[in-house]
Amino acid sequence: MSAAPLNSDPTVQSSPASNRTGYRSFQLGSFGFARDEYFVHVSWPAKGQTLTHTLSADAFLRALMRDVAWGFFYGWVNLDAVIGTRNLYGQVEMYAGRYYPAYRERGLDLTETFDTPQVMATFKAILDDWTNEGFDPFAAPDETGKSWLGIKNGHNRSAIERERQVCKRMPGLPGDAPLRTDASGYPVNRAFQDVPQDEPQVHAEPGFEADVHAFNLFAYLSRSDVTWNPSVSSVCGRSLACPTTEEYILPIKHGNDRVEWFMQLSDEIVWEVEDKITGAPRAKVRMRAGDVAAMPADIRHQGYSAKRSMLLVWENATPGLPEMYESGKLKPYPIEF
Amino acid sequence: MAWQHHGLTCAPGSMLCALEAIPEGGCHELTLGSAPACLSVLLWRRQGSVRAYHNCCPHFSLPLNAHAGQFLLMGSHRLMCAWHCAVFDLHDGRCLEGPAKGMALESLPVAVVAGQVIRAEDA
Repeated sequence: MSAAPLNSDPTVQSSPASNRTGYRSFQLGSFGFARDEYFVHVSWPAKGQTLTHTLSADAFLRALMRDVAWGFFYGWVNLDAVIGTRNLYGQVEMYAGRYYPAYRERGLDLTETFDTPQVMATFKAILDDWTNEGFDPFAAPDETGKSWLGIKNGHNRSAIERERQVCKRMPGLPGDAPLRTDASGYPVNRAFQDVPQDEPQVHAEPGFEADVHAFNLFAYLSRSDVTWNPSVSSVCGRSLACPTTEEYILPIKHGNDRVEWFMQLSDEIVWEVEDKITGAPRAKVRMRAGDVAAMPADIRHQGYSAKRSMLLVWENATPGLPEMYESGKLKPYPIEF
Repeated sequence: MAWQHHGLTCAPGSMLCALEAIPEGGCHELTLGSAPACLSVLLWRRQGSVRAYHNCCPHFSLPLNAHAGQFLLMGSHRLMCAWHCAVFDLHDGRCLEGPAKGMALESLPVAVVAGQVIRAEDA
């Protein structure tokens, strides 16, 4: 069954559907986006020619899904080693080759800046058009179909329109985000069948029932229906605890504009850490349950999780932090050895 | 829906700013009180009337703007939060799209009297 394009935003520039594949092509400034049965082709002008960069369509959709769901996130979202976005909080840079020395040193890179709503509308329209029925870009490869490949075949809007689950203070508090249950559509994931589901008992003094609270974070995470997509499970001022479940590969390389703390709650993730600007290898970090790491503000990182694992990301949402790191007022790492 | 929740001492009828401070069809950021207990207010002017909202996105409880006084207006009446792209209808504060869907900005009652935006009585 066909459906009208989800996004009719006038800022979205797109072609009619291809007679051969059924997919539309898109334009964002000087950048072109096209897809075929297997691949996404991104093009941009440089030195009087048109350069193209090709990605597997499933990898591109997984990466773009995170960029959209996270609202361009903190700093840089590299969709792969060549293309990506930088969040300027109100505007967004789209770049190709900017942080890939082979392009950059030859002047073959391109960076253009857009108002955030234009990039968001374009990326949502791409996701809507290129995500076929049965493919969930948030899911692990073992949990979704192969329908990402081939010619256009329907939509999967219920999957791509999911929002990050966030709380005001903590899930389960009255008036706050609910806990996850079978009844609310969050069964225990296949990888976490052994996780106890009992909830802690809280006996608050009368009058403090709405202020004293606890919940079983492991049970909550065992019911996550997405990968590499943190929810927010506690808010204390600008301190955000963002737990998530991870399986396969983090679809993007996140270039930090602040320090992020990682706490491995179960199983194992291997992180490849690179210089944010050049991509030069900086470190390989193997985190096992109980390990804690601080990802510095001058790196980009990508994680690999062979088995579904639980990770707590601790974010500092203080406005003005990126400028403090950029200016050197804050060092890019929290500890000096 | 109430100024009193924010512990401000300015009384109903107090002047907040001149109407001229808000561009027609645009937004203006107003800070009331002093840190750390100050209140940031978003004022939106359209066709002579003004709506006021607590400048706080219900998604992450961050200000709607990343840079002082600069808001992301979309078309005639929509505003996008600079942090995670939630889109709000400035007519009523409802989130139309994005991570705060189902939530709304906190409206603060104001009135325009003789070219001045004033605090109105809480509902």
